[in-house]
Amino acid sequence: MASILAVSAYGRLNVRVRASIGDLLSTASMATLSASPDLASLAQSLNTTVYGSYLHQQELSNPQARTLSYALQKRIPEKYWLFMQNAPDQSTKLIDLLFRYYEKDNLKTVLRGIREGADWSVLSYMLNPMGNFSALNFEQMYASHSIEDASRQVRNSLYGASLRVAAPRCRHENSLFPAEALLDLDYWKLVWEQVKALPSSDRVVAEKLIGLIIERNDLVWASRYKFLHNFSEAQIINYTLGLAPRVGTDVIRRIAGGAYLRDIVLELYPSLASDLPGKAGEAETPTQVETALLRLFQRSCRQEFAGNPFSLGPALAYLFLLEMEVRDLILLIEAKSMGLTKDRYEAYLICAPGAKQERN
Amino acid sequence: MSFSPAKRMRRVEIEFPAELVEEVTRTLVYSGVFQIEDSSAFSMNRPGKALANASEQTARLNRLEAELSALLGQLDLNISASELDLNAEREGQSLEALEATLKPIAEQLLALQTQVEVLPPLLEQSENYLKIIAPFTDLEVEFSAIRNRRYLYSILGSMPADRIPRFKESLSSIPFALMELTREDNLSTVLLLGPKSQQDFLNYTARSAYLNEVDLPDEMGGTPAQVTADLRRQIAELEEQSAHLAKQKKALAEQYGAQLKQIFFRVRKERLLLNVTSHYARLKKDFLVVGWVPDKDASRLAGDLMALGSEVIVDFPAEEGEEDQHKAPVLMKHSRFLQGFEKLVTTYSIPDNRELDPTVLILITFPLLFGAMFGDVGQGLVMALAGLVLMSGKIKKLGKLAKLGPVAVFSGISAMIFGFLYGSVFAMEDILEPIWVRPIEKIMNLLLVTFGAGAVLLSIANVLSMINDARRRDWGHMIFSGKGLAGLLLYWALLGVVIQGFIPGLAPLHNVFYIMALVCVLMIMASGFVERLIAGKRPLFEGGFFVYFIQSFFELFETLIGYLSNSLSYVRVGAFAVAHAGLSEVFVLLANMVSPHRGFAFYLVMVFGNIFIIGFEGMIVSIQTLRLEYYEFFSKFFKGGGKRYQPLTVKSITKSGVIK
Repeated sequence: MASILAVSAYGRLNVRVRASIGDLLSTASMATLSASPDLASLAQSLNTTVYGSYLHQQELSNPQARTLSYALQKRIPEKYWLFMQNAPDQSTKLIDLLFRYYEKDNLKTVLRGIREGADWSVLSYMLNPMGNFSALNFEQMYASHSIEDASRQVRNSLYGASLRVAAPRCRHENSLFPAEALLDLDYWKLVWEQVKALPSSDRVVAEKLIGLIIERNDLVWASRYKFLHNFSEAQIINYTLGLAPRVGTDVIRRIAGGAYLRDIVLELYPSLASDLPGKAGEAETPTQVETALLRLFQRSCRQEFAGNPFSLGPALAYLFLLEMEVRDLILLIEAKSMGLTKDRYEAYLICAPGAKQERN
Repeated sequence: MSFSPAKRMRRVEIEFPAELVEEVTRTLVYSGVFQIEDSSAFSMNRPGKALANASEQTARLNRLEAELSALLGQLDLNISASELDLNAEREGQSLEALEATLKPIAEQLLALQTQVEVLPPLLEQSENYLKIIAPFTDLEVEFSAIRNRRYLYSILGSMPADRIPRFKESLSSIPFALMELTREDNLSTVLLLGPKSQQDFLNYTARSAYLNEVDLPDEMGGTPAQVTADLRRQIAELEEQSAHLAKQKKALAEQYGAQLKQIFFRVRKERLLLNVTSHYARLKKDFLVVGWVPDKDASRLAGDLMALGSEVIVDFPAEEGEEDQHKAPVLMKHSRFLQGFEKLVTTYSIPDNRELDPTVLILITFPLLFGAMFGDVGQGLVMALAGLVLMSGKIKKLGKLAKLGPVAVFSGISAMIFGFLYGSVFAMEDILEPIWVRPIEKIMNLLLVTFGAGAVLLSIANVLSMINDARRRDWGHMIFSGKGLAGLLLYWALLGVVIQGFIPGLAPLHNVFYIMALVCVLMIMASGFVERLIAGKRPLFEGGFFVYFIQSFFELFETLIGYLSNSLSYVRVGAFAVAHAGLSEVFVLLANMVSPHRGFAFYLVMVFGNIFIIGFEGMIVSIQTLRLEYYEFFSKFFKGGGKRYQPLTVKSITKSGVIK
């Protein structure tokens, strides 16, 4: 009986996913958007896409990078909410938790805003829209103008324990880094635990997709901690997760020891050879490697659409693809607002014209 | 029990000076009979002093209410809506006096609260120290000696338990020992030991693993046992202080609790009363309130209002006839037993003042149709008992359905009566002999009878439609329309044409039926013209004669189709009775297959089958019954569109904070 109900629930979810897939922007649409000469024409072009319904006259007549980006991001909570309402009971917790990524990011932004004394009118547009999801009261947190008071307000939330543990170090080091790093570590650990608690058909696909995210996080974090923060091997191990199968402590140790990230990534994911041209031993920036990893992730997500329809795979794949699409659009908006030429930003687009694309 | 939906209502207009806004509002709300109509649209856009005062007053009351809420919360006094004393004295201290009363209480409480809030963190800190030291209490050496060894470096502290494995991996390049001393939730107290030469490495690595070192205060000297004893003493002192402060708080709560609650409810009532004024029309100097009051209460309310001052003008505008009553709200007041059936009616629509209230009719027709489709003595009994349980309200989760209890009881009893007629008990048809017929054996007979019953119900609906027309004085519609006399006669004539084919005795009336049908057809086609003629409307043929003719033809066609489909629709009553019997038979067959000699398994299957039939088929039959009531029966005579009478009361405004 339970499995019959689950099949029905997956059917309901899949209908929503299939209906949504057609709304993802094609490579050609992205190329058109990328060809916009400036921010105003990009806004007009966006208005002709599915994102048009999120843009108001204000964003179109006088487009600002901040408000435009904020408007586009509203699509993400909308889709998460839709899928969560239609997903089988055992999967809703994971979808909710995956969306909490944005809440966690908002929390970090608000704490940073308080620390830097940012104005709420500016800060509020830097937050991710939360749509129908219940969320922390960020405005009230900001109004306290105190990191301690703001942390106290979230003590009973998902993030309370992380902030409590990191608080002594934040005070001692007069920095938010310990809190931000621990929020990330605890969040992804919780997501991984949730993945492990899924029924088998969902677990396999979630391990594959979310495993890729966790591996990417570990690789990029380790590289940044090594080259930007000059952390020791021991510190880098403590600041990474080591949960997913391909990126364990040994890989982290190699990065901490100075190995090139590109070489390691190509060893782990040989299919990325065309995304990361160059010779072994040549340095690439972490951002370029991260973009390549995102392209790999994008391809993995697209493959899920051809997978088992009675699993969480297609829904997760769609949500991740949507997030990457919005990331690309925000990158385009930022680039156009700064007047950058195509060659300056194109390499960082996941959906770059040269990148491997498959439409379903 | 009456077919008439409402008591007579009177429209009332009250005009009064701005100074009396509070008194008038209070009188209207406490009268409990006045239904307000939103007349704020008539306001003149010139806010006067009184309005400014009202909004200032609202803000002040909001502030005061928030302050009182906070005070009550600090004293751990819960506020329940049921505590609101509706009959509490209406007059009392002024707002200034209330604020003055609150000030010293608030000051006392603030001083106490400041002391109370200091204690928990201190207590928590001491308890944490105690937990950390607990594993060392057996050691008889100075605590400082454990921590500061010549070749050994140690860090005592707490860290997230789930980070311990990663921490161990990060330390793998040096010799170390990491002991988990205690664990609570995800927080572990650990002792890290490593070479003194690696002190820096140990420190920064520990920090990166979120190991927060515990620095015991310098005054905590001595052996771990001595430190423990000191901490216990400290905790005892803090707890004593805490208990003392709690007593003080309790004393304050006892001293002021009742008074604070009283003031709170007084302030809330004042605020809610002021909210009512947002529905008043604000004239240049005065306020205007418009609403409805039952005729019998009109003079009492007018007297109360006029007693407030000679400037209060209460006017009951002269009634403009039936149309005026048409706009009046409807007071439907049925006995507890009928409220479930009333709910079925109001789900469709609230009766207009000028039409019959079909609640009494549905009391008869709903159980009748339900029982005919669900005829079974046992299942009907279960249903009736379930209805009684619902009515008793003993199952709190089903409290909202209590009103529907009588519907289930009546339907259950009707099902039992039909069960006797069909000879069915708990889906078994070999226990009782049918008084009338077994549905599955005489299907055609049953269908014909239900068709006939449908014809009777449709005729009743037609007669009721005529009565409603008469109440509205819509004589043209009553006589000529498809739902009036012409429609009824046409229906009977057509029935006569069909029946005379089966009953030889009626054959001579053959031509009478045809002539009657023809006359009725002409009357129905002329109905639009006649109605306009009687109402004095011109032109008589709206849109020209040709358009009128086409329109009339299609209306006639629709009437004929309507009668045919509605009559056939009632055949479903017989069809469902047959389906019910068929489903019952299936379960009996299944039960016999499982246990041919009627053992335990037989009855188990029958119990399951009966539960299924009551739950599943019962639901379907209920929906079908409702469908017949709404679409076949009500649609013939019941227009609805009335407005429910919901007078202003303290309870209603307190519950919602606004007027519905």
